[in-house]
Amino acid sequence: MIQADLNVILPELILAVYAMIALLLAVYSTKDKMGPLLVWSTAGLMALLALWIAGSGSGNNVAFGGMFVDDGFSRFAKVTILLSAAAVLVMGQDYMARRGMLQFEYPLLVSLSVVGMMMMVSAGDLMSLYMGLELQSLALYVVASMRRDSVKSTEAGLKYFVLGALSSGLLLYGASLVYGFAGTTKFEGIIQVAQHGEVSVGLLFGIVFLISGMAFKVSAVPFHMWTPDVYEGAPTPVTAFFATAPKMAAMGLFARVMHDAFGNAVSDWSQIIALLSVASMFLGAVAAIGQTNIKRLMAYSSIAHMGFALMGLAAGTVFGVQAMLIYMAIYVTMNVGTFAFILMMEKDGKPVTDIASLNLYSRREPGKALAMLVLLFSLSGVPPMLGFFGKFYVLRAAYDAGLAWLAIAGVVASVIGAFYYLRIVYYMYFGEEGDELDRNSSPVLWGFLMASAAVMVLGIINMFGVEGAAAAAAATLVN
Amino acid sequence: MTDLPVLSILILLPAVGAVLTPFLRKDPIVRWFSLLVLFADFLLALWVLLNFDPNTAAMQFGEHRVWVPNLGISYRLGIDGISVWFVVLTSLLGWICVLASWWSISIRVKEFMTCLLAMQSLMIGVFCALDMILFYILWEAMLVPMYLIIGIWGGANRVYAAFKFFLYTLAGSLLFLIGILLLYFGGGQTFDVLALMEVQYPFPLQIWVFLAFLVAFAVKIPMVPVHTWLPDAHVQAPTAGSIILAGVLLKMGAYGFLRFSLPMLPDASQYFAPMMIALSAVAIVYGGFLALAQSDIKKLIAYSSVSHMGFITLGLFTFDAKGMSGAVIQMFNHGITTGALFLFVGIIYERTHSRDIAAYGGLIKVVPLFGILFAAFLLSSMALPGLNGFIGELLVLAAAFGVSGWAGAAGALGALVGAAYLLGVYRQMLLGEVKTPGDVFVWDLGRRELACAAPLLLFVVWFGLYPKPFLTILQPSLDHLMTQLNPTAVTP
Amino acid sequence: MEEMLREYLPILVFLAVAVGLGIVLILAAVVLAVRNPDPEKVSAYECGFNAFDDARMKFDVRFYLVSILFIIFDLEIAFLFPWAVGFKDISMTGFWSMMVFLGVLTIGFAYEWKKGALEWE
Repeated sequence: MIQADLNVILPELILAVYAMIALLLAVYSTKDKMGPLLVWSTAGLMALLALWIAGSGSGNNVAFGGMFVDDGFSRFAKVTILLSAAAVLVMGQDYMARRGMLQFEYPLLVSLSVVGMMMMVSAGDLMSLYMGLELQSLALYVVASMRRDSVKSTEAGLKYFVLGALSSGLLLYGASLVYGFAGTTKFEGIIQVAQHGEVSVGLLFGIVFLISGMAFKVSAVPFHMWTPDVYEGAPTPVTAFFATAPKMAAMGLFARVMHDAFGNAVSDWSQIIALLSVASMFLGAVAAIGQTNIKRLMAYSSIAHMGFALMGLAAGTVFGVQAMLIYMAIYVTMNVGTFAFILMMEKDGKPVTDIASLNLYSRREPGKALAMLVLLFSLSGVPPMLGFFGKFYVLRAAYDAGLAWLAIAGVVASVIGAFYYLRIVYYMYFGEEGDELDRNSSPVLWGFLMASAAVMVLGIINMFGVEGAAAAAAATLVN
Repeated sequence: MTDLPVLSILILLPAVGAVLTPFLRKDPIVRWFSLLVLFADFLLALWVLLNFDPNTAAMQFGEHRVWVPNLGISYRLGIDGISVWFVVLTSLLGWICVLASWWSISIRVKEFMTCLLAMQSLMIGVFCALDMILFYILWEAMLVPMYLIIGIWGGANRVYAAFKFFLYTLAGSLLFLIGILLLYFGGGQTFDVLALMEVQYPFPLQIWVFLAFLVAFAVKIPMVPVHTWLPDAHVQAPTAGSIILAGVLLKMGAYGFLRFSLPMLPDASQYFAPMMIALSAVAIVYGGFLALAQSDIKKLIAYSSVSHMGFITLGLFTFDAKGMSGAVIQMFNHGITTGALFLFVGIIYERTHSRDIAAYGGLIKVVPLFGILFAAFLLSSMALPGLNGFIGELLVLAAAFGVSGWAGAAGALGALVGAAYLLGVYRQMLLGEVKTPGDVFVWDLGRRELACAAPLLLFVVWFGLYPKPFLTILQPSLDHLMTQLNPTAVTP
Repeated sequence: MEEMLREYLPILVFLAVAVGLGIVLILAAVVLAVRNPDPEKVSAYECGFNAFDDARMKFDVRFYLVSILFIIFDLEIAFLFPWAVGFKDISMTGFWSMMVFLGVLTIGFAYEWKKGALEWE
């Protein structure tokens, strides 16, 4: 019995045990520089686990009496989370090492937070949901303030912690209301109670609080205030991490709760999510226009992108979940490439985040500039880049579900959003001669940038089969 | 007919070229390589034209592959008697653009040629696409290289022009996407253009889709209230950019009406026809008068394009067989003629770096070859009988008088004003006392420039004197379009 | 809905009384107390001599560290007691679960020991 349960959570178990063993080994080893070694081994382990999960998993396995669900949906999310986390770890290694920030705790904290994320997307119960969420968040709070002697970084960590705690509180409050009115914390029990048309007021309040808490984690407007500051303050590799894996995990959790627990009352929550979506898309698009710091800009960009992903969720259909998954997979890939580029922006060995420093970058580094160009147009959703297909998927899902106004709002927001991506292109290609950035080129970063850009272009041929996987994943979640 | 996917090759050849160009080492190699690729593409397009069966209105050289089955998107190509001419036009202007920017583009040649090749591939793709989403993707993707062409190699005010161009067109075309979705969910449940033509949509839906499409196409054409991006883009763009813009991009708006709005939304098209005719008439007259007032030669030609494009939309919305064919002929001819005019403006600009009309005079005495050819293209733009512009404008005017005296009168007035400003340019720049801006030395056309001008001239004269081959290929498709317009059609 | 609200009425009354009483007590002091301040009265009293320095001094961060460590082990005890009380009735799974929990805790403890979190200097 327990044996079977443990088998289901084996990937999580391996990663958690690895983190603890590595922690002890590293702290008791006599060698000084364990950081780089651990980064590579952690990333390697994550990639292996991702391959394993993608290759071996099948069917719906439930462990610990329904607390933990291993189905197609969670596997899709886990593979995305693991791969992006591994990529970001490897990408940031050089950056952190050169600035003396690569303590060996960094990869281990990341892997612990990844365990939390895997828990989140597999949650089948409000308790395991909360446990995963907190494991993820606690590790992230520490990672955000990794650069202890920088005021901005500590501020970022503190801000993230206080607001994160607040959101956890909201979520917990919602969870207790749901428990109170549904009589159970299990999703499969809640879904019996939360039938369409007979959702009690208390339960409705519970849903609203749960949504608020989760909206915090995906940084959807109006719960987005922490994002720009944290993105700006945290060291760039950490920002890259924030922009990828946790977003996927939080969206996965969002979809799981809404469909597994409240799937019979779609009309009760889809309006709320549609509202979050519209607000995020517009705020993300408008607020980014004035930004000069590329990390802040990426923060607003991620807010806007979350708005689009939520659009798929708001549809409340299988197709909507599929669209959301595809959107997130594309979004994560784009962000990996974009942050690889941002990590390469340096002057005299110091990181630069001012967009204006990119003036005429294309003349000095045509290859990298071209890759970034592709990524930026993909982020803004201009065809034929893959980003367009992501947008098209969610727009269609929303349209399909009768949310035509949402689709039109999304279209308008993406026109506004195109402007600030164009501004970066403008600096890179049309700007005036100015101070040059360093011509450093780490092969790892270069590889990630090019690979990500190549995926954006070549992916349009058949999307590397992501569609089919996402369709299967969505089908297991929504019945 | 062969099994070879000719259209795909036609589209992919420049695309492959665009991928390879960045890896070439020296600028001259890049230039020759691009020229070679685009010329090969042109020859292939000619081959398609020669093998085109003029007896049917069906789509030829069809290709179909499933692409994103989840979304119902497929890769569907094919050309009929209308689009084959645009494919030829595009591929012709392609290599001329390379020649036109042979020396005038001296910085970042590699990137420029990459953009040009990518543009070529996308433009041909747009005219071949028979899937709404494929069409949309190619249509949108053109913004990127064009944005770069204007923004990097343009004139002093290029950034403003590039942003304006991009955002205007993007806003328009996203509404187009919404329109496509409306068509899909409104009954078609497919993105196949031919299948969508068969669907009978309810009138209110047609109205909405028509309006959504109208915004997208009207920006591209451009029709009068949304034309302001065009003069900026034209003036700031390098010569090749102007040629592409005038020669091909503007046609796409009209092509969109022809391919989508009219056959799929016949009732709404009828309903909006008076408005469209009125807008076209305004465009013809207003564009003409604006052109008359210009002192910048590029701006003048840009506004003349607004006016000439007005003829095209006017012809389309007369719903008359004559008007339609006039419009299509005018589309093709305007592409040739205006492309040539921008080419010649580019040639003289290369020598003097001035676009001020008043600064020139008597060029025909200094550079006779340039003068004569420039004059020929000016006259063709003026629709002189015997040259290519005449027949299209005549047909459109005849149809317009049939619909409404006012529209006909506006068209006639536009033609008159057109003659005025074009002859004005002719007189000022070519005749009279010899002068050049800053008294710089101008030399006559070189071999490279002659190679650009010769095929254009050939088309101008050929279609002026013997347009029959053109019409034979066009006719079946146009007839088919007329039947689609309304099963119970009564030509007004 | 109404029934639910009625159930919570006592709590509302309680809250009202609590808040009201608090306000009354604070206001009473303002209204009733005799105030006659002089420098000696308002200065800090420190065993008969003048204050050495500002009362708002910085605490060493190590105090926090120690108290946090204390809380962790405190909570652990809170888990251990009920576990030990019901030890007879829980299965082997229960036993091993607690062992794993203690193991994880021990790893953390070993880490902070090596890191020097337990040393004062």
